[in-house]
Amino acid sequence: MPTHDRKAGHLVRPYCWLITALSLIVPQRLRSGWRQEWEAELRHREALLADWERLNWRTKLDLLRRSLGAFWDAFWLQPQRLEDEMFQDLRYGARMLLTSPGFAVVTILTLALGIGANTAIFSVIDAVLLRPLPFAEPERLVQIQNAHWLFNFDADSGDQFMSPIENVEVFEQAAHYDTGRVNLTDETSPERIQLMRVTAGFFPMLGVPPLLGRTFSADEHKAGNHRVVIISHGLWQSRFGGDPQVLGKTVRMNGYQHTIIGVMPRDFQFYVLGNPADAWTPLMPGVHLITTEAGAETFARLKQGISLTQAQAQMETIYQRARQQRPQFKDYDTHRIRLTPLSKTWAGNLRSPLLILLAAVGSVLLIACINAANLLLARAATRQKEVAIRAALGASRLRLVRQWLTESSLLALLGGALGLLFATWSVRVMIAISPVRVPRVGDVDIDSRALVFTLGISTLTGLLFGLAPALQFSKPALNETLKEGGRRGTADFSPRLRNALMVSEVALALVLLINAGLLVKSFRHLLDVRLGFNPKNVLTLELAPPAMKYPYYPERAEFYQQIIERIRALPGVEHVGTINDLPIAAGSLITPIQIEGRPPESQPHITAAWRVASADYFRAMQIPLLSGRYFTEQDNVSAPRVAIIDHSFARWAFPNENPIGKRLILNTGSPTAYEIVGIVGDVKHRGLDLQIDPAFYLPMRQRPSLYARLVIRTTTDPATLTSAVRKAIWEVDKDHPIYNVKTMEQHVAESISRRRFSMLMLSAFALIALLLSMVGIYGVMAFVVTQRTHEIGIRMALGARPRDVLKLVVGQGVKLITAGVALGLVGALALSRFLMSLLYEVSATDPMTFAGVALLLAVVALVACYLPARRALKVDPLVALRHE
Amino acid sequence: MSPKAYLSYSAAVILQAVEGGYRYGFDIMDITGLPSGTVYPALRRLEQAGLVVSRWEKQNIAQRDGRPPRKYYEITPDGEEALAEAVKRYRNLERLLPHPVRKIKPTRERG
Repeated sequence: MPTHDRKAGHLVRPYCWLITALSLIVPQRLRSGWRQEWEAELRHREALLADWERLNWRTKLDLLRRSLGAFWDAFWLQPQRLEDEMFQDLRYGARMLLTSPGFAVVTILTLALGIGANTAIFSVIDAVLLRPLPFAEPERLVQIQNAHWLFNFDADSGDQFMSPIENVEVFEQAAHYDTGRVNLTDETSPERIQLMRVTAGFFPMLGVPPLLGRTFSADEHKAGNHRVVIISHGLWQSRFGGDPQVLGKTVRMNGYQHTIIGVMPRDFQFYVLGNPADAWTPLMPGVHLITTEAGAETFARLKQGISLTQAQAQMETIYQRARQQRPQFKDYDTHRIRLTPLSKTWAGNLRSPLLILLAAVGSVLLIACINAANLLLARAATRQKEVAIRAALGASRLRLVRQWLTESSLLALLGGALGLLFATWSVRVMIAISPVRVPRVGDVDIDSRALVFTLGISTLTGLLFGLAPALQFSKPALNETLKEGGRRGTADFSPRLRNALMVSEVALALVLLINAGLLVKSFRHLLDVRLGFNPKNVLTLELAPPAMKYPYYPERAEFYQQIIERIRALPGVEHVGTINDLPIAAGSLITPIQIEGRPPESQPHITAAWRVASADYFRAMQIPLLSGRYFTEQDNVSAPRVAIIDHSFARWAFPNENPIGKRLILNTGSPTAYEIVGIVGDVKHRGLDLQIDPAFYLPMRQRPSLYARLVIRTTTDPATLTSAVRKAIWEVDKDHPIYNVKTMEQHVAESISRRRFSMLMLSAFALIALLLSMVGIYGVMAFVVTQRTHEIGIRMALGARPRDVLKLVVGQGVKLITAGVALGLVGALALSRFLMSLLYEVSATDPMTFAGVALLLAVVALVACYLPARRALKVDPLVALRHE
Repeated sequence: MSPKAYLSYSAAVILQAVEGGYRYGFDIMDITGLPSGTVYPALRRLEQAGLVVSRWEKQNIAQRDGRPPRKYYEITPDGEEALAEAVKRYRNLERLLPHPVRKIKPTRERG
């Protein structure tokens, strides 16, 4: 670039002074060119004017006015200046990090753990809780609990049944569905699928058009036209290979012919009990198709502009009115109508564990930040001189703060990048150990949203932990620092800040550890729960003889009996039985009963769980006989009706009598009496953590259920028998699908998988927190020792014994740890109540856990303190005094 | 940058001035009547967008006149396309500048 003697004319050219002054704010890179352009232009113009002899005060003023525009020009270049300085800061920051790779690696790893854990949990929460449901305007969809107040039970068509609910003012549309599994058969192998039967409002309300074909017409919700089915994208792919000609094909479901009229798109997934539905048919009152695990729900779309509170208020009015209209329910049905956003019910009881985990990873990140801040502070203390020199050379405070923040952001972003790798890996682990039946867990992925989240928290993290040193060291006491000739130690940064950070780190780690401890203890209690049966070496599977093929008791009983006999003949099989609802895996059918000889008014609303078991069921499950006898195969339709009750039934209904020989009256159709012939042990039927319902068992051959679970006790590994069992069943009925083949131990494990997931995750985070805070304490103490080497040397030279030095260093640590533990205990007391829903037989303030964990943390923290302190002992006074 | 880059009205006027042969900042001010605080930032933006390029005047001319070399701007092919777009958008743009270039007095080169 050409240079020129510019100084010459400045004395008489105020506009040139102005340009020189303004050029100071122009980025350095552009400065000389910028100044030259303006000066050349002004001087050229000046020369022209002089040439024309018009260079008077007026034209000079005009030149000055024009030169003022240079201010806007320079102002416009400001962003470039910041950009330049940022690159400078980044370059410098990177160089500084490279000079102390140990510090950089520890900080980046620490942050990567914190950020990675957060990204992983975020991506799970995003998929399960945050992403909108795959329907049109999902925020207006609500689930209606206790919707029976809104139905017309006298209806004989779907329309009439739903008419009261559709006329509710606040609802735009409403739909009802029930669900269960059916046997799907065509030319290929039989299959058991999850079917939803839906009322006419279902598809219009969700507002998702089908991929192929159409949804149900109004006609198809009338009897005679209802044998049509819409299939899911998944079923279309797996069973029909994505055949575009699938429309119009017929399939048999539980024996009934259905015509396929539509295929839903891939994104359209409707979860029932955590399982996606495979197919939909019209719901008709009085037409029974589904045989098992029927879950019926009602939901509605709120009108535009109607809030949940408004809608709920109207529900209350309807409930009060309905109660007056149906006085027969008045006494015992006090369930109010409740509305819940559909998105909330889908996440179900996973919502609070996930939010707790989010809080936990948040704390882990906070600990990581504190660690990073401490490390940065320690390093900053050693860089005071450098900062002072920069300040002395004219760096502004803002510039220094920016330099610190650039460095911390650089660290955080590197940590974030590494954390992303860590998250990708841990998401895979999390999906693998995630509880069964979680809606949308398959969608969990590190996607663009997770990337944005990571970038966001990395930046925030960088600012957070960079701020402490930035504010503390950007205002160096120049004279002091420079005068000290490079001596470290006396110019220590504020110990108060450092101490506060260390205390909060210990406290946070303790809160996490205590919460994890409570969960671990709950889980251990859960594993110790007496099931009432022996789950080892038991194979189970589902049987569902279609009602069309086996319409009456004798055929159905015969079907079950034949299968039992064939399987019993297999080698390795000890006992075979059937039960309608498998313990742990299925719910209970609760039914009202009476006891013969007792006046009805003395036993209002006695209800018990109704089970149907075959002769060998109790032996197969090893449920102990307490009194009387088990069922035998002679307890069939021609024999007297018998029943077995469980221990809690006996204790509850016959507190002071022997129940054997007494008779139960079951009011289904015509009242039938069953003589109690035996008492068996209690079984944890509904779940390990749930109460036992009193139950009675009826013999399978007298009351064969519509569906059953086959229970096979084996002498070998039950899984090896699967194919032999399948063959035996197909010998009886080649169209029967083999479904839900699982060992009893698998069922038990699945039933506690949610708790196990929460426990494992929280424990993992607590351990990371423990590790990080130990690294943090070690780092701080090591720094303190280095800072005080000189002082320790003097003390030792003056006769201090090693014990005194140890006391000096460790004593300081002990004070901080004690404060941290105290704070952590208070925090845990305040916070552990949020954990209540996840605890089992452990109080949220369990003193044993609190004390044990606090002690553990204190010991580990002391070790982290002791290691650097030992180094202090090895200080040679002579070396230390020279340690300048 | 794509030639379709959105040009503000004043940027379009300035670009047209450059195309018309008014190559120096002050000449552009004269012909467009825009103040220097508008013209220069706009020129920087146009340059960044690749619609104009700048060059330094030959050293010997500057030396002869006893001042630093001036900087002049030239329109690029991208700039011409962008200008054509802008002319379509701002219909009255064409009428703003005298066309073809008629040099006004102060910008006359000194012989």
